[in-house]
Amino acid sequence: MTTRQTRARLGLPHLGDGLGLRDEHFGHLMRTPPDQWGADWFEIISENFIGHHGWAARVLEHVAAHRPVVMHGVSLSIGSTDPLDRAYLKGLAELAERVKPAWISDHLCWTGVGGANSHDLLPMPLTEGALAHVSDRVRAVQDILGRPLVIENPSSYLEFSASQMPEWAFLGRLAEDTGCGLLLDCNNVHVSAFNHRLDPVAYIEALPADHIVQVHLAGPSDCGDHLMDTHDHPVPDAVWPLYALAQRRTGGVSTLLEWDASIPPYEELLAELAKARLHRDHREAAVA
Amino acid sequence: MPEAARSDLGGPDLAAMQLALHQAVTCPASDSWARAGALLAASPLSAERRLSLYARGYRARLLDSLRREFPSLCGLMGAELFDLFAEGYIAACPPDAPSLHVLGARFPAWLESIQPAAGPGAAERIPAQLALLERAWSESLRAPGPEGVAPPPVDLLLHPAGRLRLPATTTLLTLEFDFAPLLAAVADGEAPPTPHARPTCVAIARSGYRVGLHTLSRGRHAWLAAVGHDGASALEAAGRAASEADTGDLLADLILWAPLAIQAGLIVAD
Repeated sequence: MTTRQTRARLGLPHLGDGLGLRDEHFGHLMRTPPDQWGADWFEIISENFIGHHGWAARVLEHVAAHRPVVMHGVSLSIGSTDPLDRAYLKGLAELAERVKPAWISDHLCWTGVGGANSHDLLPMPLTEGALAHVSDRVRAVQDILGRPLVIENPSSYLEFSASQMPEWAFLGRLAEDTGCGLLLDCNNVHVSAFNHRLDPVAYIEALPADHIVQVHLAGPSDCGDHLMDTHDHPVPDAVWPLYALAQRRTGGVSTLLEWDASIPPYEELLAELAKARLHRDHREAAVA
Repeated sequence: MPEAARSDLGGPDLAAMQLALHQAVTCPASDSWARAGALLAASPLSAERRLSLYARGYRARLLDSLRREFPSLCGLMGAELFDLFAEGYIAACPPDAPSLHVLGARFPAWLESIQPAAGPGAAERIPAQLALLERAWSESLRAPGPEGVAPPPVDLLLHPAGRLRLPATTTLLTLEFDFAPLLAAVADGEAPPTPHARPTCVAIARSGYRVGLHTLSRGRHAWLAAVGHDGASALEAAGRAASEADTGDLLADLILWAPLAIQAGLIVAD
């Protein structure tokens, strides 16, 4: 069944500009009054908090009491041919009950097969069969969680010869078939476009804009003949026009800066996040 | 039918493709790379190079997780030797859970299974013993703890009806080495000293979200073991511990020590 979505962002809220909640900043957030946090919202890595009852859980409780939180996962393995991991989904639902997230997201990928887990976001062959398979599983997860799932475009370093459609078409059809949301990672578009010699603008132009509920920003590593999605650098210049395009196409969606390695002091993260507003303002000024 | 890949739409067998790529990533070898490489689209980068990016990422991610969970063992062995052991472990016990926290759960037992035969206190037994301690520390960081739970009365041993239990954040261990100086050195960023062989009763416990190592007398250790995670009468546990530890004046010691044990998060009211 095709679920035609016409409301912008699936009707989900525009949260503003947010940061990934990481251990390195727990102390700062607990010491600093919430009105000085400088971020409108926070995104957590769900797996870091499922079943956690220690300091991280206490910090999350404090943060969630003062800001919207989004749960972003890396282990749903929505594309795997293994059965859905019911225990994982139960943990995800229990965490959602505690956190009351604005939404729950994960990636268009698979992390393992045969019961094993690579802890990596492995790419899908983009075939009709894979699309039907992922659509079935997205619907099943949405039924279990009782909310739309939000799916992120991954970065990738290889493509399959069997693929029958570009990634943007796969994601667009997935969103329209299942009613799921899309998390548009502009950095991942940049990385995959470089690695596979694709047109990143065409990628973003082709996605169904009313399904995009969030944007990711991050900085990759330039390895010469390829880009690696390392989240350890400032957002590169090439990503900002893609970000501005995404904001223009969607009419404005929540922005999240990811920084997962070589994490700078909190104030530097805020300075990087502030660039997003500048690029939005610049885009709006140009349009005016 | 969300539980299995559809096969009614033609095209390649998704399960077979995933198995081939997974093997190439987790067990890089010429045959697994040849099978996976045959599935890839043309690219300026060779198939081997693209597969190696995933294979290197897999190895690096898991090694980093184990180094973070076992920092004292890594410091004592040195990163190079630690990685050799860690890679052997990953090959023997590849990850099968969504959380990387689960990855290190079997590392102590695996180290024990490969250690050369040696008597208690032999240096060959240090890695497994230290890994056991660091895994308990890691679990204590995440488990439901004493925070927010009303503490038992400090004079609990004077109340015959008073019951106690160990919170999930408390783990009792009897080790062949005294690791306390080593853990303190690593926490201070200093070179880890070689631990002394010495039978040592310890508890890992959490209080105020901080995990600590507590070296215990045999009597106190026996009392906490008698209390257990299922809970027991404080007085009855003291009686059993005095008998097991052959410590005549244990009750008097416990009456004085119990407030400190509560403060350290070792015990909570049942």
